[in-house]
Amino acid sequence: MLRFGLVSLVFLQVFSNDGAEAYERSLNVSVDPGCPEATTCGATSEGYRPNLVYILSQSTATPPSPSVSNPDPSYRILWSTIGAPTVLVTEAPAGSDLHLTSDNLKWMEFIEDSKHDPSSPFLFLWGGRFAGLTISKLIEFNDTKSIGKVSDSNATFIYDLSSPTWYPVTLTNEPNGRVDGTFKGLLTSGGVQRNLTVIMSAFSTNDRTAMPPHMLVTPSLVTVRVILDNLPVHFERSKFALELIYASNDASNTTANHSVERSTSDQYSPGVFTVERVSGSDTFVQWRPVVYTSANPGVSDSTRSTTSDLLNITMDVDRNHTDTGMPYSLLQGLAGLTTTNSNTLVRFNVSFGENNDGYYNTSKYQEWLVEVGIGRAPHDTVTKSLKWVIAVALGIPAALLLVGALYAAYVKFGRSRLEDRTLLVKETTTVTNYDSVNQ
Amino acid sequence: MPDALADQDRLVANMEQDEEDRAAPDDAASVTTPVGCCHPAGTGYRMVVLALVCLTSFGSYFCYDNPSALESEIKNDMDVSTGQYMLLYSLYSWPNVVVCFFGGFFIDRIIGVRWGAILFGGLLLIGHYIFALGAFVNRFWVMQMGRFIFGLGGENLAVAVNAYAVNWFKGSALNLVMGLSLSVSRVGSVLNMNTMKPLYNQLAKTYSGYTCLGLTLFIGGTTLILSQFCTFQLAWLDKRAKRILKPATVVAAGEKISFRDIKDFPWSLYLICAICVGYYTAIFPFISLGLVFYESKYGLSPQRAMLLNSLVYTISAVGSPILGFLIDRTGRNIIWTISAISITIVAHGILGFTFVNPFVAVSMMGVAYSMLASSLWPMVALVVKEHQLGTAYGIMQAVQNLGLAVFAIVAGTIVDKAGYLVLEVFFIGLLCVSLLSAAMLYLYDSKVNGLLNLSVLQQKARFDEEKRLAALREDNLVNGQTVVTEGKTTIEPVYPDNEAPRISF
Repeated sequence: MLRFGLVSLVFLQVFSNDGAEAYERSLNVSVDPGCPEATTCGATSEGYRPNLVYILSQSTATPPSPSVSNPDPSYRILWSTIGAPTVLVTEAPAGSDLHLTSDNLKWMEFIEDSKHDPSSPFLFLWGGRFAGLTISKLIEFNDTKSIGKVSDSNATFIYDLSSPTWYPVTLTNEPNGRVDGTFKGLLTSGGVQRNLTVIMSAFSTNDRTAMPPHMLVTPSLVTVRVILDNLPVHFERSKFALELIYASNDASNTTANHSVERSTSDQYSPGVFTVERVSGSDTFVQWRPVVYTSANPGVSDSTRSTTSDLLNITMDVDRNHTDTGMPYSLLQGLAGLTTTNSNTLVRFNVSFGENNDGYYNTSKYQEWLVEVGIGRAPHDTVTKSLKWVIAVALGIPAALLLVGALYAAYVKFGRSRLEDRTLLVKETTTVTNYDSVNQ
Repeated sequence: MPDALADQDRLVANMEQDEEDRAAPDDAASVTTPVGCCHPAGTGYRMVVLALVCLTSFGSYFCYDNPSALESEIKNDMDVSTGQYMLLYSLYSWPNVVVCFFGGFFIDRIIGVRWGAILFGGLLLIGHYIFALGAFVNRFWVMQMGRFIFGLGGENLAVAVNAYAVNWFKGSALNLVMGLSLSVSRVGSVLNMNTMKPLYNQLAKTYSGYTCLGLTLFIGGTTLILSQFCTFQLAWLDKRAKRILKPATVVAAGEKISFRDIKDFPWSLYLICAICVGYYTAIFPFISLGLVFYESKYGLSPQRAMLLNSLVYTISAVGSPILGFLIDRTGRNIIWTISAISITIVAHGILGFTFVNPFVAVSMMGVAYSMLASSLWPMVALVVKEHQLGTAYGIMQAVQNLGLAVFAIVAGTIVDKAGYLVLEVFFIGLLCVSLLSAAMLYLYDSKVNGLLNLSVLQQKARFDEEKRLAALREDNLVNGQTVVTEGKTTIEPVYPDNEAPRISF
């Protein structure tokens, strides 16, 4: 495990497994870049702090000739607990400055903003596509009908995730080129304090997540794993839901769609055949509708998630759990997000649990994973190895059956014709002999 | 429970003695006078026996699939993985790998069919209630032990029931009785699939977790009490019939184990065993895991998933007698078998690789299962001699149980590690092995001029010819010549010209 200082850098160089299109890709990770040295970057005397992790994902392959630009683009990735936990993935336009400086992130704007109500944007992107996701609220609801879906009729207890205090991020560098950032937030309820854990991961190559549901990942996306471990409950039939805010500058479509894609393959996520997606034309948020109820789950250690309708964000409304504006977060401070008409900005709930699956207290542990990225969302299909197995398992018996059928046909028809012909020859011979005798 | 069994045993013994005392003076008269409804030779008496034979298996089949009906409840309440859950089926099958060899022998030579049925029915009852107790006290190992004991009785009770069926209906309506017995058994399976979960949900309003699960299983076990009651009634009726009719010989179903016969078995028997293992291991473990599969892949409600999961058995309950009747009329068992396996491969393919309405694939599977059950098992009687039937069926059941024991664990592990698509591929692979074995059997049978692919008329002609030759041999043996071959002395019949025992179709 590697703990980063205020500004640290790690360089990973791995090989993509995309065969002919393999490029070396590096992940440059820095914590609190651009933070004025004279400040504590918002850290409190108790040790809590807003966290900002910046990752530059670059292809390091040498183009075949100087005139050809590298076809594998660079990505900028931001993880933040400045307010509600947020991830941002952007594609860096060719020739743009790849560093995050004080010009991009106005540290003093939010460091001096003790009321968490910034008067002006504090994050300026560089152009290019971006997709962002904020986890704005954790909603505990009393699921009296045991249907696993939060609605206005449920009694609720809201954790506003823009307000908790966050411990300093812990970064880990995995051997397969993955970088994890673990963010722990302190939830306080009735004098009881518990941690909410959010693990964000970036990838240097096409791969799968190490933990279930083993989703496909690419360098152009970030995974966010939310862990609700041993949280206190306020109702007899408590279940939890997350309120998510999705933002993107999808060029061709400002309306995000919620879709459910079915797949026959559950090879890497046993028992889960669907992927849910909120997306435009070239950005996406996607997840498998499964919530694991154990840290090392089997098929039975899981329940389902349910997604609400997508709702537009209205900036001017109040902030109760059924209708809200933008919470204090990196997305809220993003310049032009709400003033540019071509941007997509929606919110929706994902509830954990299904009909008659017990309640949160049954396991006291729930874990859910979501991916946020740009470009085409990875689609799970039947793997090559499984296709080979199918080909061998079906092909060999089929070939043998064909040979057997031909042999059987020969035995039944070929041989009998041969015998008929032999009989005819014998008969002819007999006649001939008879004639010769007569002569 | 043992006290209750002992009381019932004493009751049966007393009833038998009383009946014997009353009936003894009338034995001679009973043979000559017209039979009434209470006479063992009467239709009414035989119908009662038929009903009891069918109902004896009912409880066994009902409780066998209790874990399947309550799959998610067992996994959640007992906190076990799919692999551990599938052990409940595996532990049923393991003892039968060995016990099937000896169960028939035990029944034939030692305790007889009546006490055999009572004993093995008792083991089922005790095993199931230990299983339920394990759930009630939240001890999964106790549940496993219960299923093991349940397994000790399960297949052997089937042997005893078959013995009753053969004893009572051989030569009259045995196929129909077997078909009806299977149908009623499958009704037990279907009822289990459709009642246990609602029962659990009803009890869950008052009880929760493993307590609720245990109580549900306790209530489910009442079907075994009914079955055990039937074994006592059957014992009493059979004893009474034996005394009144005084048959010259009593043959207990031919389930005799004769190890010497094994070396004489033709290859075709082992190919039939391979078909049996490949096919049934792609059906029973699939049904055991089907409930969660239907819910997760097709989004079916638990009620509809239960209905679907029991559809194979439902169709079998109706289709087995019908298809058995059809196959009895057409013959060509091996073509029916190959068709059944092929249809099942397509059905698994549809379930694995498409989102076509699962009722289509499962219905196909149900028809194919009935087709195979009606065509495969009678083939044994066509490839081995009559006195070897018991041993042959014993081997087949043992190998089948070995397959089920092993592949139940494998199937559970596959689901946990690689999901249902890989499981379907695995089942298709097993079915391909089964299909390949069937193709080899077809070729082998063609080569040796066997009976497996003959029409009924051809089979009848063959049987008539063999009878004629057998009679001829007997005649010739009277004037036969003694031949010494390689140290062995044999008697070779002398055939007249053009009467050599060479038959070909």
